[in-house]
Amino acid sequence: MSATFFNRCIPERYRVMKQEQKNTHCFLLTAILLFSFVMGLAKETHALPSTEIQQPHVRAQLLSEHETLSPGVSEMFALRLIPEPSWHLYWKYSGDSGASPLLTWLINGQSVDKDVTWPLPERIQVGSFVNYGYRDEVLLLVELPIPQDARGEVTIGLDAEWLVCQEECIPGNGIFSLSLPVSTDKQIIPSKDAPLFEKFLRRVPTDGSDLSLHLSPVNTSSLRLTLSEPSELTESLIFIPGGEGVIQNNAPQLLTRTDSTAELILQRPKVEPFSSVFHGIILKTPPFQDGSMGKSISLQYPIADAGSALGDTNSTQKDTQYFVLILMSAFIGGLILNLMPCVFPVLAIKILGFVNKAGKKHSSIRAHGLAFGLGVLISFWVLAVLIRGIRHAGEALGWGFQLQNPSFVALLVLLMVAVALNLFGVFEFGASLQRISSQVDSADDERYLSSFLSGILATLLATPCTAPFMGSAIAYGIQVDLIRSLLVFSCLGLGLATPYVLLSLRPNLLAVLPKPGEWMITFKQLMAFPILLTALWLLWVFEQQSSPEALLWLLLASILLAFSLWMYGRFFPVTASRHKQRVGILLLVILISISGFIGLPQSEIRENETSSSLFSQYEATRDSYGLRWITYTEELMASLRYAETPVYVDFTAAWCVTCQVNKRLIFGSKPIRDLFQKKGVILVKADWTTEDPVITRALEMFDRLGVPLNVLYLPGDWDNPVVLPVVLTRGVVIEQLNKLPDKDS
Amino acid sequence: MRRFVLTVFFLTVFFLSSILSFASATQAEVQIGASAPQFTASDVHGVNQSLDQYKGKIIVLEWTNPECPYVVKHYQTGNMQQLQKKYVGLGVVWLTINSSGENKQGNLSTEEAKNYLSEKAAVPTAYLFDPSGTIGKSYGAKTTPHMFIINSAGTVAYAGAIDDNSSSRHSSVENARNFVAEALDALLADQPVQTASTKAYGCSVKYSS
Repeated sequence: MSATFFNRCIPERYRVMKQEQKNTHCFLLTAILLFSFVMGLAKETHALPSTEIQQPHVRAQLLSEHETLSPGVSEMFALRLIPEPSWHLYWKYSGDSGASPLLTWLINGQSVDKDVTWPLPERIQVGSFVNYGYRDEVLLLVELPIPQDARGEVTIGLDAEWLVCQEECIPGNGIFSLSLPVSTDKQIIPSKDAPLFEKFLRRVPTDGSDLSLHLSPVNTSSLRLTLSEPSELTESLIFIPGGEGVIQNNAPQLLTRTDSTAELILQRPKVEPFSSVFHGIILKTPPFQDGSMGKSISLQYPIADAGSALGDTNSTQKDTQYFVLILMSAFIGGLILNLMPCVFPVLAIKILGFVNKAGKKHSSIRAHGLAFGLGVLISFWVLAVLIRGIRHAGEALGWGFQLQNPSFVALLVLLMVAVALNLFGVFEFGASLQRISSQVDSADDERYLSSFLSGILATLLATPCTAPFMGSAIAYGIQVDLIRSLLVFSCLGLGLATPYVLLSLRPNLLAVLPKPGEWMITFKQLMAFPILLTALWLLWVFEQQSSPEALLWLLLASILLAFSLWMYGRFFPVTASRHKQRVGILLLVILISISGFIGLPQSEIRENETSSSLFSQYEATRDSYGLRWITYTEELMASLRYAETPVYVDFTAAWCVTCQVNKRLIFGSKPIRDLFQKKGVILVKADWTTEDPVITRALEMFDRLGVPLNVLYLPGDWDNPVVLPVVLTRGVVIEQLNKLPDKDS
Repeated sequence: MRRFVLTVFFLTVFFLSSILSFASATQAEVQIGASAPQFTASDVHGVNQSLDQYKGKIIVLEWTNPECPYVVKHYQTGNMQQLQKKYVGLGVVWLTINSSGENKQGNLSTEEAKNYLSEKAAVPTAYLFDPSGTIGKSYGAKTTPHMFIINSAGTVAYAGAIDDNSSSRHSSVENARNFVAEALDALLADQPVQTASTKAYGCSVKYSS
């Protein structure tokens, strides 16, 4: 019975009502009290309505912008929610999981169906999911119409429920009420909370229809959102979808910038429901020209033609031109392959072989040549499909194969370094293949099948020299769809096979070919430089995606890789005995694994932004391990003193090598990150890369002249912080953290 | 020598086809109308159950975590049990799946799960454990509860929320539009499912990684 009362007070949008009833009088409070009493619900016991409620991990308050209310005017009220550190609340679209706060507003006991205005949310990564919400204090704002005939006092009521999560989630709710005097004289007296209203009104997304935005499909799985913002550098850009089915929430958003545009690559949602409208908010730092940090946008969602991997209209044209260029360079690359030292001699031998096999019959020579060419082509197709298979298998294992994935980029960098060294002749491999090669050539068979198969084999045998180029082609092939990859590999194969086919048509051209010799070595070494340039470009991309510090480690790994390959080439050359070769290979594998371990970033992806800096009164950044660091200021330390939470301060500088080693060792360790989380430690970074008197003063307080300095402040014993040793070990940090009480106890 | 060439050729083909078959067998997130990913998991009696053994039946997959407030909502109010009872009675197979990783919220031992089922008077066809999260990830289960319905042809007919009221209040179960019941009624009457996908609500699945 009380349930029906209760239900009548909930606005239509929160439930489905069979009867179309307009709400008249509602004894909501009584109903709720009765209801919770009857149901005996856990955690749903209410005190009498108040303006402030403390619930697990959240403090909630009902606020008014003005001291007095004017009749006939829309007045602004808000629910203020303050989550505990490391807990978060949700925005109107919660993302992969979670739930938005539900608010029902009442004026003098009558419910009003008014939508909340939501300040800008953050993108919050929880495990493999991405949510949209608030890590810090937020005001959910609403404008309520004060009745024209209101006199004396008006009572604003709010029935709210929310979900607060860290990894686990706890629902909370509250009944609030606030009675304010009505004043008919036109004087507006701001309440003590008015500045808060002002602050959060500034964080409400503004209308973005004036932006010059363009949304185009990149391929069947991704979209490109282009913002033309002339002469403005966009430091970060994040798209927050306004609902389900707009983008794949947990896919990284890749930002690329030019002088006049900022482009965001987003992934389309993989599964239904799909949204027909591309709507949401874009967050930008520095703010837009009108000063707002986020704008709501709504664009027509481009429908991808599932059959083709190519998008539409003008971007397609550009894409197609670019692709044709790639095909041409693949063909030329294939031709160049023929000039490699271990391929070039084969050319003459093969053609002479055809001539011998076919006697003097031209048509037969031609057929042999074509069969051989087909063999080459087929093996390239097999390679293309193979790469596709690897990609599929890899994706199933959760590897990302795009240039958006820093780990993949890092691998490519290492590959390019190895390729360049190979071209320089620092090391060689595949001698055994060449031994087989000479045996195969002596295979004597009249039929075209053997020419076809030897085409396949020739491709295989050319591997030692062609690998460098193949490496680049494979790297490209792994990133695009199968059709494109097949086309690229076809061109490569055609390039490789063309000279054979040509010569089989005109065997007398053989005489024109230059003799193999020293020039080939020169040419090979020359080819290493474009490869190094590629590596350089990839390093730049990698730095954009991760951090300068990650770049340092990747460079270190490159050098270690170079060192190990040089050692392999120097002490275990291909001419060495088999046993020695094996030892060499083993050593090489070990060293390469180590360099991979060093160079690959520890965390999958860095959020391309630190939106949190928008959302707390203190500036904060997120490091490559996903930890959130608040920037050191004296004001911050003063307020943290009373926060009753442990605080870890890292005094560091980019030029301090010990600091970097410490950082990687400590913050790169998952157990330690988990402990920070478990104990609710607030992390503060004091960056001394450039001289900062504030930090210098702080260092002096600890009688230090420099960094590193790591300090742990304990709740309740603020004046005796624990100073950790200069060279940190995981054990020391874990021991100190374990002494702390758990956050929830 | 020719034999060597042929061997190389066939080895390549074999390697290729095996990679491809492996790749096609593992897919993340399931589409409506796609065939339901196969799985085998152990139940509360330690017996292995596979999706295959229920071939030809309508199957409900219910992702659960007994400590999640939203799951609590549907069990405390008896909503989930009523659904299980009604549809299992009509010949539907109901599989409750717990994908909470070890040391994660909601990870139960077989004994704990048995007690939970009897205490709540829940009557699924089976309660399955997926601590590695393999099954959950193959379906793209994001929340608890997250519901999937597989029709008798073995394709996914519904994926998403249990109903349209994402409140954590227990009272919200009343008058909510139950998508699972709607879809099951349609399938039992050989009708197409009207609402085949919705956004699931609830706590995130507590995967081990």
